[in-house]
Amino acid sequence: MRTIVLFTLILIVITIVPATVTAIPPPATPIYPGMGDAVSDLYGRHSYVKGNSVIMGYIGECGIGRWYEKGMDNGLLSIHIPPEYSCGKQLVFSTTHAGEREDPSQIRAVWILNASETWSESMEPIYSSGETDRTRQLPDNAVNIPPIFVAGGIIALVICITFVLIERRNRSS
Amino acid sequence: MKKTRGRLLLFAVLLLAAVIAPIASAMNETDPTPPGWVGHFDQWAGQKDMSAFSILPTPVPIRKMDAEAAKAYPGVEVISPNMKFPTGNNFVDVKNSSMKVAKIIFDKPALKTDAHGKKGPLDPSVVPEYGYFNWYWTQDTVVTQNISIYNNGSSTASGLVYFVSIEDGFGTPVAYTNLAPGTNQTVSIPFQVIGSQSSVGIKPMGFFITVGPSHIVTWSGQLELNAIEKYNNDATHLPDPDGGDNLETSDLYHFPFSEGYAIISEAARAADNTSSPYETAYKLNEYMNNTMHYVNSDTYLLYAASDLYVKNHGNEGVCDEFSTIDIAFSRSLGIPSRFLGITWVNQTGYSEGHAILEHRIAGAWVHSDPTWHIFNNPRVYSLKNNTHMNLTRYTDADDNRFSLDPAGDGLLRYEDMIAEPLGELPGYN
Repeated sequence: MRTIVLFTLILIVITIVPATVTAIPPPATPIYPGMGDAVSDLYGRHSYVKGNSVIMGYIGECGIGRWYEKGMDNGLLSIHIPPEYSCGKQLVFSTTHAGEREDPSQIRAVWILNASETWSESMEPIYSSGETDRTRQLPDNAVNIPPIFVAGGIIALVICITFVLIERRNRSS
Repeated sequence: MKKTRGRLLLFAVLLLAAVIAPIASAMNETDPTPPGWVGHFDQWAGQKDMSAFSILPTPVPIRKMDAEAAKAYPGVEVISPNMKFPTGNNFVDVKNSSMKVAKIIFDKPALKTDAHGKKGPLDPSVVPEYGYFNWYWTQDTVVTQNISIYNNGSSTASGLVYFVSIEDGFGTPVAYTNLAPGTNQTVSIPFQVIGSQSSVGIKPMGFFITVGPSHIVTWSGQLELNAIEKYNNDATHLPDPDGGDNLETSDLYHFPFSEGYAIISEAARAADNTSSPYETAYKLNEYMNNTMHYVNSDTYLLYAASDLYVKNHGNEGVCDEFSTIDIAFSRSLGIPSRFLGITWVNQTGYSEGHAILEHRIAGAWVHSDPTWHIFNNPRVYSLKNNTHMNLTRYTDADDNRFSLDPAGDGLLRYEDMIAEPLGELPGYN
């Protein structure tokens, strides 16, 4: 019986402690507007990038550094995304920046360059708006197990162990 | 006992299998999420229709002034669409112009045109010399235009001087009498800016002069400077609940008056022909989103740049610069607007900061986020799975307040401003 109580307590502790830690209020240091998160602004301002597999693949691998925009001669806008982590690459894409917020066809071309390269509009893009392949690209051997399954597995294991302990206790008594 | 244990073990194995089997069977390299299973948010939401995030306001139609409508406004006359207003016969005297009033000089006083723009000998010939024109029009007020006219003919003249809003097709005439040859006279014309018959934005100004009982036109022309029509902020129109604090051009957005026309006229072009504050504010949000360039540099991250700084540095910045310019434009067109900082806790538990603004329209604060091109949808932040949206109003900027930062450079720190916490407003949470 003691063992069961002990396990139950451990279960409660490992459930409650992380939840309590994540629920701690934001830090007291002021966060001023403009010092905010460039990632939120990229997805807020150019939410259609989420529909482009090349860009999302790059972001998944390199992160989002201090990105910026520039007007292009042809009236388009070029978006420059340096890496957040050192991955030896940088990404540039051009966009009409008009139309439906979520429409990825606003993206005209995507270039992935070496970190030391200087972007030029005349470079050969690795993606142009004529392409239709938007398959999500993941690194080889990537295993993406959603957290819901991990939690389910842990709960199942805990139940199993509890059952075994009950069995043992019944046997000893 | 053995039977019970067997049942328990079987139950546990089934439970584990129910969790693990779908993962093992359905997972592959291209799509790690099993078909029919709930994956990450972006996957199960799929392509989202964000059109509801930006509410496009319905334009409010403006009633065109006609003879029947003009009866309600004594002194106002409908101008024939056949009346021509030639350009190029006047220029702005910058030295003698001030905020809201421009001195315009007429460089071809001898030019004689009739109502159809046809040149010909007219006598008497009354022409303009110069005038002081009020170009900043507040709706439902009277703006006085002063024009010095000169009798270029050989006989005494009497007639009318019409000041006209060319786009709106109506004007106000004022009579002059017994103008002797070779003399001049100043005519003051009280022009009515009629909000219900006119939109805000760019308003080409013109006037013409007639002589005699048959109203022969001796001069007509369009002014080199366009007027700008703005909303009225009195108690019966679009009042500011903070007594004008949300309309100050020299607050956070401190452009000097001498530069006012450039910024105000850009705002007027951006929101031209809009006729409700809601529609105007939406147009300005759209304009900021399309014309500003997001540049995530130290300058824009650490400072809140003034509107003049942004205009002089290529329309670049981050969210607070986008909001600052939107506020400067909105205020210049008479829409009370306030600058807000917003922080939230994102999905991973980190706090983030962002800058937005709100307009005071019809007694309520209307949300606007020009960086993200979101209008009147304060729930957009919670819809992105953020929590604890906390708002702070920043006001009364003074570059001298924070002594560790040089003053007068157009770059402000947030310590230079008064922060007024508004808390977790219900509309955002």
